[in-house]
Amino acid sequence: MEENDHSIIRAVLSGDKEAYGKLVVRHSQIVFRVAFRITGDEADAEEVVQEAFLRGYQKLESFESRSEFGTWIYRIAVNCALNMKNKHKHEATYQIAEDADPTQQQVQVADTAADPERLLLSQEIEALQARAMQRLTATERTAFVLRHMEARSTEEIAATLHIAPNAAKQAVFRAVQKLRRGLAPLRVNA
Amino acid sequence: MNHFNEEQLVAYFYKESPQREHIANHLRKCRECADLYAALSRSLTLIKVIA
Repeated sequence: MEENDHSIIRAVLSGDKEAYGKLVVRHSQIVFRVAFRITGDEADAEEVVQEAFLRGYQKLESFESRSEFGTWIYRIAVNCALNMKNKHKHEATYQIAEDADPTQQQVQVADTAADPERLLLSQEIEALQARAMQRLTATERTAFVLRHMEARSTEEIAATLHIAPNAAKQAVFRAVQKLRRGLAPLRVNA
Repeated sequence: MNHFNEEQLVAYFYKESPQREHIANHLRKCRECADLYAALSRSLTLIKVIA
């Protein structure tokens, strides 16, 4: 039978330090995903994963057994990613210059079999989106990622970012406004 | 008829509005709010999820 997180944590706290690796394996994918969505950079996201699990290990004694480890480490990771974004405030990780070739800036191209016109539109959307995302503050970006991409509630976002629910709601709204402005060139009768 | 603003419609889009039923009914009757919501919804749907 598979061990649950709480029994692994008890083992780690009892001296079996190696057992922590099981938690890393179990939760690193979801931690990486949110870290990547916030930082927009694979190397930064990997650094965030390492930092989050290291902090988790150091603080494991303070982990409350009534909580879920997954939620706890997720919140640590979001804060690590937010710190990373703040650190890189003036050195955007996948910045797109006004005259840059959007084909060189793609994080991903979803469907290589798509027709050229559709592919071009997809690239244009991604370029505009990436540019608009760069205009968000670290808090707005994180709040938006948590809301839009991770489907987290306002309360969860607030708890993760250590801000009031209304501030979390406002951060999401400001992000939506900025992103909509950024995507305005695409606003057609689609 | 009281219209809904963008902030209220954003909350509705993310299924977090406390007035969900009320807004849904309103959107069926009010062209202005329905157009605003359609535009908002289109923009947000365009923002792709980075896998």
